[in-house]
Amino acid sequence: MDNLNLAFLFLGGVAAFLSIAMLLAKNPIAAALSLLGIMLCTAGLYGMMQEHFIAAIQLVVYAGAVMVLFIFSIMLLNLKKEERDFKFTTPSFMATYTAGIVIFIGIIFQLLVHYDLFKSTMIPGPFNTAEVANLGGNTKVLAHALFSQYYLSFEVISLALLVAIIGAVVLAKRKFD
Amino acid sequence: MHTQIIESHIPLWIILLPLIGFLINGAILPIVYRGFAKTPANVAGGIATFFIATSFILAVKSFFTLQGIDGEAGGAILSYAFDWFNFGGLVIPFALRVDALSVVMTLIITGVGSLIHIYSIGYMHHDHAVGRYFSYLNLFCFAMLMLVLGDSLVILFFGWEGVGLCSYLLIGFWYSDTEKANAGVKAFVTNRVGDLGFLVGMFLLYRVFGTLTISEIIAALARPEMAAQVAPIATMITLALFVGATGKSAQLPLYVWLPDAMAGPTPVSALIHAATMVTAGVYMVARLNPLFELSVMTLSVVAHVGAFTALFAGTIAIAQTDIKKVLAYSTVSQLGYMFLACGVGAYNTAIFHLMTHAFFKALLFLGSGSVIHACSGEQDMRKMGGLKKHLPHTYVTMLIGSLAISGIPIFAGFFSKDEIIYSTIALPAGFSHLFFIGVLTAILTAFYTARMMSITFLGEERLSHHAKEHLHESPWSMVGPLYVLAALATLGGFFGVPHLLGMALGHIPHFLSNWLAPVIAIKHMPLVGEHLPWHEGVVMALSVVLAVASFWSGWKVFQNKFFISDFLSAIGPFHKVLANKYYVDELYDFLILSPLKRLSQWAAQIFDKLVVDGAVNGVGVWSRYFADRIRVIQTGDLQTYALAMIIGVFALVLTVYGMLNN
Amino acid sequence: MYITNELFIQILAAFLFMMGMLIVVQRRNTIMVLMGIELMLNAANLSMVGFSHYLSQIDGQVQVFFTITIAAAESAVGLSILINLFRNFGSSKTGEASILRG
Repeated sequence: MDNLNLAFLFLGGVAAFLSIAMLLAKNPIAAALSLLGIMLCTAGLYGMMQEHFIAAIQLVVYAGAVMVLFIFSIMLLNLKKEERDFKFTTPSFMATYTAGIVIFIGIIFQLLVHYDLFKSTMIPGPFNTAEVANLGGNTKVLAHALFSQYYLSFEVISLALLVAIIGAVVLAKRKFD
Repeated sequence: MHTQIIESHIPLWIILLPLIGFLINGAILPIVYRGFAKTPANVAGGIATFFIATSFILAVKSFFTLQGIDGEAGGAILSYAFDWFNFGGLVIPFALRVDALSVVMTLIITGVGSLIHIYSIGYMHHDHAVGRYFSYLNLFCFAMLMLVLGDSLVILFFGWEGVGLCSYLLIGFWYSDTEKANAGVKAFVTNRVGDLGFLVGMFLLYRVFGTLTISEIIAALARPEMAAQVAPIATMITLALFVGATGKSAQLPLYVWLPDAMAGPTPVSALIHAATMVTAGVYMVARLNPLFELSVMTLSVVAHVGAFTALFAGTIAIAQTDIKKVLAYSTVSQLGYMFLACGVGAYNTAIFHLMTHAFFKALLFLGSGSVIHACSGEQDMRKMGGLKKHLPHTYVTMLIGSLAISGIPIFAGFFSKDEIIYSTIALPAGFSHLFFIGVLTAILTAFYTARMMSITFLGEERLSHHAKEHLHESPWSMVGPLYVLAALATLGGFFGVPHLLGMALGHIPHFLSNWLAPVIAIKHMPLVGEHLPWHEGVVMALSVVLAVASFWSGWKVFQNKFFISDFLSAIGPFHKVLANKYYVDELYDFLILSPLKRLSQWAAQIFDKLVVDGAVNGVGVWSRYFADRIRVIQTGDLQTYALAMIIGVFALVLTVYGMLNN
Repeated sequence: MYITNELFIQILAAFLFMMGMLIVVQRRNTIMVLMGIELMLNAANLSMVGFSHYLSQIDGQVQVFFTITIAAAESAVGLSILINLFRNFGSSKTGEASILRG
């Protein structure tokens, strides 16, 4: 409930700018690097909200593994800089942007209208900053919740990872002629 | 009046034994012998005869059981199996009832049926589907027995339809010949037309009485208040039922199937179209006689239809050249007599004539079968002649049959026919003009029967060379039943000696009338007629004289001529009409069949092709058209799909959100 | 009304989500589509973490944990599919794989 922190504003602005750059970039590598930047900003935002573990995970998994994978793929497919091949006035273009803006405005509107509602009817949970610090830090609290309350989901996620590994291996194999 | 009821399973066995015979002959023997063609005639015929003969023995046993019951109201053996149909107030019990009337019919069916089964073993010996033949014969007996023994009209109708089916199967027995198969179809379809009337009658009966059980209907009619309530609608009910009887018993206008039915084997003609199936209509009228008595108009219609049919068929029979066709029209004529008797109120006389007719008509048919068998399949009388010395047994028995049908005393036909003719003037429901029609038909009957005998057995031999070589008297399996039937035809008349003669011959009562009294109320016939003031003795003497005279003249005249037109040239052009059966078949074809055929062709070629197929194909065409228009959505472009999905998800979320908020 | 931190986070998440959606629908290269999907997932994660901080609950963070895991797996599989797509159609343009065109 503090006022807007300047760091928040800076990181958010950079993320927004990078996403516009991603939309308009002609070079795929530029787009990938923009996405990487967005990930870093987001990690920073997580850190500022006292969720250190999630910030770390974001950096390691997302920025470190997923984006590297993307860049590997771009280099493997040898994608070159491409020309912009769309016109701004085609119907599909206008439909797309209209839909996007409508969705954005819808979400914002709901947020603004109901934000106060959250304040008065929601009972805040137990894990405010002081309590988390008391319990031993964000990682410890998260670990406790993960391995006690959400244990089943944890196991299911491991299974999903297994399936993904097998799927990726099978899909990327060369066909035996 | 309280009818004594005995519960027993014998009626069920009487019905079931022929059914078992049908199943054995129809299903088991073909499996054992690998096909109908390889089943020996003796085995199939022996099994079939065994079952029907056992039924006969059981019927005799039932007869003696009934005879032992004392009392004015007589007795009945009731056999209740189960409730066939019990739904919404309609209860149809599967119950069989042996009472005075049905035991007479059962004895005729099983007795004459057994004789015909024995005869068939010899007649069908060389046929290659003998097993099928005997299975159909047994199935027919099952259906016919169900008809006469059923206590409910529904069971009677079941048997009614069953005999129609078996008639179709047996007429078209040699189905590879299209003409014969068509004759079977004609019989079945004409029967069905009549059955519509029967069904309408049944519906009306159920509406009025609330039940279809015959004994309950008759008991209800015995109460005067019920009879008064039913009387207005009784005309409609009985007319509808009579339409059904017209179809089954070959009266005008639905008689056209019976002459064509001669396409079937001769024992079939003897059993079905002489002795049993065609009499089902008469049986039904006799059984429901309290109902028919309530409607004067229906009785008049019945009597007139019967009389006119008798005369009509008699005139056609004079001009026929096929020996079986003569007998077929003779059957139609005699059935007309039975309905004439019912129409004037003499139901017991009708049953009496039914009984004697079964004897002598079956005898005549079986005899003609013997002649045909001896002449290697020749049926045209103009190619026969002089068979008297070659086929002595057949000649003697057929002569007895001819004398019986002509109404010559002491043979059976005299007693029953004479009683019918007298009742037209003696009973209150009679008419004097019917008397003259009856007498004229009797003269014609004697005339054409003598003509048939004369052309076939006397005169010069006109057989073809091939037939003459194979000319032989029939085996004893065929001749034996002929003699038995001849004995019955001779002595059968004494079951119903009329009062006048009975007094003269020493107080012999009218056995049959007394026996049928519980079911058919005896009507007293005065000695002097009501409608014509003639004494019964005078009528009797007149009929004897006329019968003998016309038989004798027919015998003498036709020794070497064939047609009346040969010596009465004035009748020449009219004779052609007679020979062509008054062109009735052509008339029906013109009025009914051709329009129906044109309608069917229209329906098949225009309506079916354009409208129905058009509708079905139209659905396909319409689907294609719309699919072509809608196909545009499938652009093949991944991102269009993605956009559509996103919009869809968003709309969904909005809806759920709106619903949650409300 | 003040824009508090929490509200700003949510607005930012909404914006990033919209941008991700536009990238998915608009860019003609399949790998750009996959990157747009990743951006959308990130935006959702950000929103959830924001709420978790705001409401002082831990459930949001647990959900994010799972989402990141699944997103990583999904991107791996998605890139394998992209490789196959490239092998079969010769290019990674989205317009090339239009055999299902009606």
